Amino acid sequence: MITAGIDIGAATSKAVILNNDTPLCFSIIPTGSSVVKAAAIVIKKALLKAGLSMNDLDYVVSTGYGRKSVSYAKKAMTEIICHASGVNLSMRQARTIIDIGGQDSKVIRLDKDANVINFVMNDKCAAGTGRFLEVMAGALGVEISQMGPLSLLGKHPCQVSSTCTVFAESEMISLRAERKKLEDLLAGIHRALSRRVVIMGKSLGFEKDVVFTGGVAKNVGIKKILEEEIGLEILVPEEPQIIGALGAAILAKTEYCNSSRLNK
Amino acid sequence: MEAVDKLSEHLKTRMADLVKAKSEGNKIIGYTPGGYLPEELVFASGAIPIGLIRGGDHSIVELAGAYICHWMDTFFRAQIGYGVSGQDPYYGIIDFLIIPITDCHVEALSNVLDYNTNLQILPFGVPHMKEKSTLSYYLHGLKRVKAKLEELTGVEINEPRLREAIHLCNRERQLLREISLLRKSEQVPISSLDFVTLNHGSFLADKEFMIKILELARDELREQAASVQKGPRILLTGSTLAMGDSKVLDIVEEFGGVIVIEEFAEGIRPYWKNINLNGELMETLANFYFMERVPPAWFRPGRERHNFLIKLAKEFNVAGVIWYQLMYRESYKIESYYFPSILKRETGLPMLTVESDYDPSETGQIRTRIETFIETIRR
Amino acid sequence: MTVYYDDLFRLCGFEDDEMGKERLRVEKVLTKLELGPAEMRTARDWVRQNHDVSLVGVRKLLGAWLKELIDLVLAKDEGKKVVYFSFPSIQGPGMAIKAADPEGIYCACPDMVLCHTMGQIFNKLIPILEAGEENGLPPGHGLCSLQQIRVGGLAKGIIPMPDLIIGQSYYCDYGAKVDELLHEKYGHPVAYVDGCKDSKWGEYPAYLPERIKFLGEQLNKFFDKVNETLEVEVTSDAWGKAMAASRLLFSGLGRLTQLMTADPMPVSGVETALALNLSAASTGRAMVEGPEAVSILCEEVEKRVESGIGIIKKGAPRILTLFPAISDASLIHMMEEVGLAVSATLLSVPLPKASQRIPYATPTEVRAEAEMRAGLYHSSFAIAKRFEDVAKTLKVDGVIWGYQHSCRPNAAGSHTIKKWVEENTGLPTLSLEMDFFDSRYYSAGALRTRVEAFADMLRARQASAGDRR
Repeated sequence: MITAGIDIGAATSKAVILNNDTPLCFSIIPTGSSVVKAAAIVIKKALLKAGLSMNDLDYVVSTGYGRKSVSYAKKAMTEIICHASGVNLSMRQARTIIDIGGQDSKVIRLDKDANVINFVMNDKCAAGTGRFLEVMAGALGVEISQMGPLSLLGKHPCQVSSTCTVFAESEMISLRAERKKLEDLLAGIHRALSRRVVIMGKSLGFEKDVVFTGGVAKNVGIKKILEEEIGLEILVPEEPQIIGALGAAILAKTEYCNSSRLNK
Repeated sequence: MEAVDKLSEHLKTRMADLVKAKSEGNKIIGYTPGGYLPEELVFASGAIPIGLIRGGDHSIVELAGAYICHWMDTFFRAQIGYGVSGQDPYYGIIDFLIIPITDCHVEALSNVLDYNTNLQILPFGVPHMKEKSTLSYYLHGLKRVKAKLEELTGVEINEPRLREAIHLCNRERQLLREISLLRKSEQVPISSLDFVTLNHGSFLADKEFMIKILELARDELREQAASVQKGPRILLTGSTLAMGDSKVLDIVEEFGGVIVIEEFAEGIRPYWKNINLNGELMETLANFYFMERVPPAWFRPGRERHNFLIKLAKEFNVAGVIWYQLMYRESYKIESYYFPSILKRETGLPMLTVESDYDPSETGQIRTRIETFIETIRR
Repeated sequence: MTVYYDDLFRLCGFEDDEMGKERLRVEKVLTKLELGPAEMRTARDWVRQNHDVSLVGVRKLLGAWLKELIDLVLAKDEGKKVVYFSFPSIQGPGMAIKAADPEGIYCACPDMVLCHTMGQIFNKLIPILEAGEENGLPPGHGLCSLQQIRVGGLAKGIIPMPDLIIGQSYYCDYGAKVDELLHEKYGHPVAYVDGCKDSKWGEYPAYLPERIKFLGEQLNKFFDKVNETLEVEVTSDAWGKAMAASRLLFSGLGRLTQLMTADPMPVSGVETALALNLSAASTGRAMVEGPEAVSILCEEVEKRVESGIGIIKKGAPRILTLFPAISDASLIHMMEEVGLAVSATLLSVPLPKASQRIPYATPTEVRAEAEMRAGLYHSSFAIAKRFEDVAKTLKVDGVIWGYQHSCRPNAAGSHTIKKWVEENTGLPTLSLEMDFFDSRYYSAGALRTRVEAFADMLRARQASAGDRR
């Protein structure tokens, strides 16, 4: 059985192709201004990598902010449910998921059967999301991939507000003009983002194993501060950004089985 | 100022003093600083009142995000942050927290802390209009506070004790008033920063010691020839001026403005009158704290406070008014819309509105506004 | 000869003779509201899209609201003394004033009327909200959308200037402040009814007796002011009539709520939302004709229940909320589309019975005691406890604690109420920041992910409990 999961996020779109329980390949592209175009391109890329065509797909589930615009998907499911499923494939002990994506962040609590038992989400505001880091990277002239490692070198993190990304950006520019060290500024930025997410999730409580997903999970600086603030070790899957799409592909299997049963 | 320095030294060791007092069996009673909890009741029971007035730190406000959404007044989110985190040692040492419930934000604080911490909380209601039935309700609340204090301390709050406590607090009010009124003169002898520091100190310091400090300050001010550098005179008014939130005071001073008088609902201890020791003392207390106090913005109608602000503006001969409020305090937000035209009509004075969420990233905007305003009124 | 608005009005239950009688008034109002042929067509499609117009009861309810709108807009022109109250309001004072002089007085909550008509029927609420934002209640500060509607309505001249405002500040602080803003701007007299919500967390249904006495006294004083300003005397007879009308409506609502708990859920929550606010908004025609429409609706819904007809799958998870979104039906529809049966709102279920014989004799104190039991006047904790009690009684599968972001007393419980309900019922509880009256920033699209994930959670729970009802 070949299934695919498509995650159309506000910043990036992801596709995962699954052969029974084995991920075959994935693709990630910027979503850009057209979710319909992004949905078309991301699956094409993945199929190309896998050497497959659309007809080979038994079932497709879409998720993410643009999930309703994926015409070739048989079903759309929320990213919360898909993340739970995606994490569960390789991390059966996961009980808490922290997902920080391009434009939203969530904390999800699971039971031992990977059922979602509680969740909280921020999508109203860029602070606390990957966008916050992106804007700061621009303000400081730093590569996004360098932000995490550099932030770890900051010995005296600057106090950075995480209430408003736009104002924090101007704050960054003036702090830089005051000749604050880049590493300290970055440490402050990472702290601000992490704290915001931890505070959001605090009302749910964090139970181990805690798994970190989303594009921002690749940032070692954020991971470290999350661990400090929560007081638990944090696990990061090999490809944290595609967990939503992976979960969608896994759920596609169940949907396919259900629908074939119905058809019999 | 020597008085300010001495006060600062005293406050540095205040926690240690309180720990010692507690070990000797004294009770420590915390309260939220809206001017509706008569400290006299606490003193009369032999306990020590501590006003919880710290603010200004955004990282503390952020902590409240785990307990309440952000659409609540900043100062009270800060109190939630302090209450749940243990980062304000005063929260850790108080035996009881008395919360006069004035508006919805204070009510939120009471509920959130009661549900999420082990703090022992006694709320009592402060109605929003000045009339017979509301005064009667407020008095009921004070009686419950009295009963609770007596239960806690084992001391009966009788007339002699209450009388003595009123004398004590009257002395403090008198001194604050004397010092504040010195600023009516053209030569302003004390900066707003220093006055506010003294006023804030009065919430935490030992009362007898505080009175000595104020006497020292008053004497210092009488003797000194030097004064605050001249500049446009300003009335600063608003919702809450917390200890640790001095940015508006600092910025005004930096740009050469002189705040000559402050009027706030919370954070500034009211000092305009003394209690007359006539009649039944509990009724006298209720009448003084509820009826004679110039009310905050959530009282309806708000005319009494507007008239008071106009009176202050005239008597202190100000050139402009700065309205400084914290985010989401809607009573103040709405008033700030129509008060400027009332002010203009009655005094011709301009008003600047400044809002804050204790966020360091606001500083740039606040500086620009204040600098421009001061330049405008300077002309 | 059909006129451009006939279609919509007939769709909203207007009979031929009613159309004939009201023509002049309807045209005056539509002109004032700038609702021309294009707007009528949009409204007609909007109503069809959002409401089950095959139900006569629904059409009559829509019609009742339209009649209220007509009366509201023309009240001053027709020589009435105009009295406004806000939401939430104590059940009674408004009705009693109206009953004291039914011909001479028009009394309503104009913001609510506009929500149900300009919002729910015409989908033209946004310009009114924007006018409110421009006239003292700017965006970004969490200022109550209902108040924005009232201020905007006055600023645009859509609703008449009142002769008296009932400042019911017993629940929140800024209703009263907006009343004051209006007083400063337009000179409207305000009669305040103060409240003091100082109950301690954990203290419900208990309360301090002084709270009753206090509210009772406030109401008495309020009636004195009404007497003085409007030269009307609210007698105990008028008060009695008011309570009777209220009871009639609430018994109908109770029946409807009961029917809504059937499985499958027989009608959409948007229909019950039409009925819920009649007494919160109107003392006039909507309140007079509303109960009859509710009665008709109940009959029709009962037939559906008997035949097992529903708008959602059988066995769908049943949800309790506080209050429905009312000016934008798409919010309720979104919840139903993701498979949730929003079968009850806290404000539509009958009041809990008094736990002991009520010792209060005066009608105002009896009223105050009922308000205390209902919860909103009592405290945030009372809301939490009511959620707990009603969730258990109705045996719902989950609770959506949808709170009004711009209502301070409501939003203050954003986290505490969710936690309390979860801990004391074991039910999944979604804390959902929303706006019941202004969906610009909290649209169906924006809220969908959370609600859908919550629905998935509940279905998974049902499945694992092996519980297919």
